Amino acid sequence: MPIIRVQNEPFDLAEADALTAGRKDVGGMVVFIGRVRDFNDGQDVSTLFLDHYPGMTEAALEAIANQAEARWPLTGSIIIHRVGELLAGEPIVLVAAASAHRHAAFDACQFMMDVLKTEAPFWKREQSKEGHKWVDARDSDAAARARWSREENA
Amino acid sequence: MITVVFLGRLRDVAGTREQKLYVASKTTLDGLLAILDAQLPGLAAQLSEPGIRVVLNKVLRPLAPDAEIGPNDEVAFMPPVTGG
Repeated sequence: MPIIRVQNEPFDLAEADALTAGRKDVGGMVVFIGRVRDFNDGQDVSTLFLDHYPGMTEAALEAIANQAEARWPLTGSIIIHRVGELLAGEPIVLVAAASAHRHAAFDACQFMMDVLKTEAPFWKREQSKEGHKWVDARDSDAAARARWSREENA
Repeated sequence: MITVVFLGRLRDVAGTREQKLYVASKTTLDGLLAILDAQLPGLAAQLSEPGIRVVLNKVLRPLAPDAEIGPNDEVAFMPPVTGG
């Protein structure tokens, strides 16, 4: 069962300990942390607002982690994603995968991030003194997502 | 009452994040868009742009224009996502 959380509060790397605490069957764990980069060249305090769809967002993250656990032999997975107001330099998302051998953990972690970027119900809005601007989806994210479908069908 | 949710940038387009609509009987997606467009001309076209998905009761499944939407249903309009 994946560990899924959507919250405004910051998290830290130690959250990943949940995948290894008390276990002897985990040979490798890969943890990815996405962070808020400053989009305003440090000119003034800028914040990122993460909109989401309560109920649907959690379900989508759980489905993504379940897909990873079905496709690779994982011992566990975690997705934690923050919402609401975030500051540059703060963490946004933690995605972790644990398995007996490292390749599954690496691939599953990257898969979950690539799918999350294109399918998870979140919307970013950059906010500064000048006002706010909703961020556009990127073609590079769609391409990364497509790669996993091609590999699966190969 | 039908609950209509406008996510991401569509909140700015529609002027609100969430709206309750009273309908006398079941309607369809096309019917709902017509009601919304009557309130805010041009809104229906913006909600119908490619890439915008319509979600019924938080389940992601393609919604036909003539699919039934009834009282207590929730319809959300979702632009392309930008999480992570």
